[in-house]
Amino acid sequence: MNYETNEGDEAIDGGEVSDNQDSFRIINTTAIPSITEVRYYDETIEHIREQHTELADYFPSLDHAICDTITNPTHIYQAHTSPHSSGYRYVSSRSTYEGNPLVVIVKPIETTSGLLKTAYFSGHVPGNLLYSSQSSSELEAND
Amino acid sequence: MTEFKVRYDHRADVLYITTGSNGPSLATEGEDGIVWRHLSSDGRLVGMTVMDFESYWKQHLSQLTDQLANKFQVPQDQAQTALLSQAS
Repeated sequence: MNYETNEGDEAIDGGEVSDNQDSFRIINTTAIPSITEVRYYDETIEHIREQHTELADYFPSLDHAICDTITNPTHIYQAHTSPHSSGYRYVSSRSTYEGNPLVVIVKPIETTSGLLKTAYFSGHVPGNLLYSSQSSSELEAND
Repeated sequence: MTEFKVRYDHRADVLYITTGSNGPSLATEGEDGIVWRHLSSDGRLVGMTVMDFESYWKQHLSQLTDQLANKFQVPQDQAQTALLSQAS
């Protein structure tokens, strides 16, 4: 079984903010200009942890693996085949399960803010490649 | 008989449906935004993750019921009951 995760020194810019109902955390990211911050709730992390035991069992810190994927993705895909499934798939080849990278789904909610929807391991990610860290190039198109 | 455990993430608007055989899984996301989870040990289908359940799929419940029933090979009424348990 293959388990790896980046335990590098990159700081995760997590701030805690209240939206009058519950607090959420913010992860800053600069990989693509259309998303500069991603919000996530503890409730979402708990659901991911419950549903994906491979994440809970093999990651020392699920929060860290997800935050690292958002702050330092190896790839980002944009899914736009249908309006309701639009959004970004942040992928980290540093965090894998049986060779399959961690995929974190982020949906734009306002201006350049996104919301963490869920996360899973998969060898196939739908959508167009927007960003690849290997080429250090930004492929996002103006559409 | 397949029994479903249903959980809904109100914050992210994501519905999770899991069978009792849940375990370490790998996922495949369809073009419609539905993620199917398969056990990594034997490839058995054990879960369905539905993005935008309230904002989109609740208005397309029959389509979602069909997918759940067909993929898990359960009766339509069982699939609908599972989905409606979180649709209020």
